[in-house]
Amino acid sequence: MQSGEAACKSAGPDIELLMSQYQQADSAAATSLVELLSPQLHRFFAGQMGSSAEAEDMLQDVWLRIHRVRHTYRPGEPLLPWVYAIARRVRVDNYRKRQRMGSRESAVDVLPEHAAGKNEENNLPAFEDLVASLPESQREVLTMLKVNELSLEEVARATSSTVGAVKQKAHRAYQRLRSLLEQNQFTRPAQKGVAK
Amino acid sequence: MTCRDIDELMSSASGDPVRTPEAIEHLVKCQDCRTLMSVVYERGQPSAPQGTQLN
Repeated sequence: MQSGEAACKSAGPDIELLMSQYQQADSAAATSLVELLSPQLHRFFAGQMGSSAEAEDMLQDVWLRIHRVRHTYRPGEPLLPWVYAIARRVRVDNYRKRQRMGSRESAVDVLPEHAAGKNEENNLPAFEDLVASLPESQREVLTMLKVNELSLEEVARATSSTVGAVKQKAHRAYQRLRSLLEQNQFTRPAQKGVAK
Repeated sequence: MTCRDIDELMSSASGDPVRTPEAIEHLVKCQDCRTLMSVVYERGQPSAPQGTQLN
């Protein structure tokens, strides 16, 4: 499956150029970037937090932060790893904020809005539900790779890691998913956490 | 080709990686990989917010 934004990465607008124009106070470039990147950032948050409302809050937060630190982007460097590094920070801060507010209360607040899903055609669990069973670091890597369709290199940059380490985490995630599917031990967690 | 090779293909390719005869041959024999790929590649896309929601 090839998403629209993945196609944008290879043949669409030059997001690095748009970012450079945004740095030079080009409001049209800023608007274009928001429209191009928001869908995949929303998936990044929703895929790991489960709550669409919470994902929308984090989406707003990430654009505010990008605006504040836009001068730190180096023109010509790949943009997506820079953006996702900020998105990770927003996600961790959101998790800590939620922890401070009280885990019991917030657990009710962030109950997923969609029912525990199954792929209706083949009776398999939904990808998002299955991935929720993974440890945080594996879930993050798999979400970036398969939901956001970042390359191995982009994930490595965004997570301050190496391509080899990303491959290893993805492999372990796939092994775990195979095991869950084979043993039919999949159960949907009530809440998805974030590693500190 | 092994399950690990399939993992490598899945991690490296943004789209459906089953394009080579070797991968297809493995999937014909391996139920676990077939099931995993069904979950990963046959999911629906969640709705995305409009850019105007940020205003």
